[in-house]
Amino acid sequence: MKSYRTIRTALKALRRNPMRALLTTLGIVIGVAAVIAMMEIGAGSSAAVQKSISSMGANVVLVMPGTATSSGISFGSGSVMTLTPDDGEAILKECPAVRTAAPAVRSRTQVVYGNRNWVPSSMYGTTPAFLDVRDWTVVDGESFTERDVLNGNKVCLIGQTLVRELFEGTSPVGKEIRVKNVAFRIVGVLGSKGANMMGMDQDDILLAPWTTIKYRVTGSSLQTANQSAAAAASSTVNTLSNLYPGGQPGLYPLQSEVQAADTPMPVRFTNIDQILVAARSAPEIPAAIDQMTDLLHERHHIRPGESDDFTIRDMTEMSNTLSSTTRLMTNLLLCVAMISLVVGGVGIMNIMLVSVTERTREIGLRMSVGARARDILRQFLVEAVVLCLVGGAVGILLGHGGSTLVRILLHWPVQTSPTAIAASVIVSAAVGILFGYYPAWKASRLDPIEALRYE
Amino acid sequence: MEFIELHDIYKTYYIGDISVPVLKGVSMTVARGEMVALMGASGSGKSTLMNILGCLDRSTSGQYWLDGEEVSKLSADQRAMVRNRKLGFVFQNFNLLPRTSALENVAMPLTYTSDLSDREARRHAREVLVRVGLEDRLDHEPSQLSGGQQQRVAIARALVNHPPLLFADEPTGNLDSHTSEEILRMFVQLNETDGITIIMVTHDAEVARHARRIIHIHDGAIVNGAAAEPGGPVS
Repeated sequence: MKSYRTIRTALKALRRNPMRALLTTLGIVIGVAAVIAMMEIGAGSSAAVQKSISSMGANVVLVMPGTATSSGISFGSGSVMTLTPDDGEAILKECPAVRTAAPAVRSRTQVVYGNRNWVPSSMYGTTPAFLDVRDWTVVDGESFTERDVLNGNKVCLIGQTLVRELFEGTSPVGKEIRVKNVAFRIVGVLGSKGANMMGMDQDDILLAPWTTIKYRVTGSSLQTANQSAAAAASSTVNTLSNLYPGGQPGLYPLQSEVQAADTPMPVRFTNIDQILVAARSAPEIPAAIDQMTDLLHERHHIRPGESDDFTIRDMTEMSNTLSSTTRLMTNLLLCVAMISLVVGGVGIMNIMLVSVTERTREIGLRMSVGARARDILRQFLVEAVVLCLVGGAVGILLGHGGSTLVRILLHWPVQTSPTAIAASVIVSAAVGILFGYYPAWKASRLDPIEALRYE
Repeated sequence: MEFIELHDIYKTYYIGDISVPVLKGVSMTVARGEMVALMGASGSGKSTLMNILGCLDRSTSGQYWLDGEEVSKLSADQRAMVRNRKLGFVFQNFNLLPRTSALENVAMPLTYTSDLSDREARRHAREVLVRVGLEDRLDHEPSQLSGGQQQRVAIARALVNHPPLLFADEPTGNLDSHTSEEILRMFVQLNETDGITIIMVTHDAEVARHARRIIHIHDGAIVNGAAAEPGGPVS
């Protein structure tokens, strides 16, 4: 008996009682629809949660310069200046797991506008990629550009806290503020991020091209310059050169003699304080770290066995929590899926058993005209599988429609999950075979004589 | 060797420890092209004999030769094949598939023989239905047909595989006398013009009268008519 004939026979048999077929498959329809809808909504919210966590920096990896050690005394992270902007570009170019990288120069100094002043808790000299790494948006005005970075233009972006403190809520775009007596034009305002996980105000920030901060504001990195201290140390107050510092600082910052003696590795000429790197996704962070480590070893000529002149840090704990939460959620949904599909399968088995009893005469007749036991088995098995597959297909459509409705009406994030669809098809076929086998086997075991006489 | 030969067939049912002998050494022959009526009171074993002849059941002991093949030795699947190729059944209660057109009912046995395409199978089924006089009822479902028409659909279904042997189990039991006469005439016609061997089980002497030979069975043994008549019609 050819298989397409079996399928057609099964379809004809199902069409003889469409209401029953509908009710039988309803369990599978509802089960699969629930699974698909939940998987899609679940995947959507999981992606949304992941996105919001990664906006706080879950995907961010920090590359810091290494530690200077002298006679067993460590000077702590960042005490040698080994990272260059070229390292940042090389990381971006040669590490496939890295999405973007931004060099950063830190500073902390006073910002003045009119008669108000403020010391932002973080002041970064960086590139526009910084916004991408931190997943930050400019809500007013626009970001500074790569050209600004190349030219060392005196432009900056400020966070919401600065807007509040210096401008009392009026739009600051286009206004000039002075940072350590250097006038910066504000080109944009950053969106609000609130406090980070450690409770620090993330909006208390000023971003400018790193060249500007490095060469015009701090002169060298890692000097925690305090305006008043700097002013006190300075012998000339309010000179023209301070107001408009056109002169570049020395291209070759000199190491102190102690530093030169202690660190055999040369200090790079234009060093930066850190490189912020965004991995493509949370699971790719370890790969990104490995790739960056290899690359920096090569670039910094560090032989195996030598200690690194840089450190790489990530937010492993946070991404671990994230992935375990996601896993828990997925497993939970899977359990619900299994239960509802098993319930649907029991429904199928129930009705198939009734159907076998009711169609005993038909089975007897088919046997008397030459159907073998395995033909009967196949017919009923195919009926169950067809029911399950059709139910599964309808369930997929319903579930997808339901989740689309949720997305449109409730604006929940929803993500179509091809895995869930494929799994539903396979599972409903499996349920059909599993729960259809017993009734079909029972049908095939019937004695044709008794089946023909059955009333 | 005759078309059908039964040698010393015994059939015993076992209900728990009690053995119930139903057939006690039945031997008979049927020639090709005969029309035989199998008569007996209820409980005489005629249905059991019919089931064994129809390859639906196996005898406890004895030999059954059908068309030169020893059927009593065949497995269940092989017997299914014999039923499909060589036998046609007509039942008292028609046994048509409900909510299925006459055409599809008739074409049903062909789904178990793989050598016909769907189109051929439908053409075949239509031809047989035309032969039993139902050319205008092809798409009717059993519930839309009269008893006589339903039995004619059943006969068409039995004939669709062109079997040389047709079994009719009380074929007129559910029909009025007028339709019974029609159906019986159809059997006679099939037997005479097509040379199909027909074995008819009945308890009605009026029905059995249409047969060329009557085998009486009583209490599990054949009383008379066991041997094929010499000079009977052979085609």
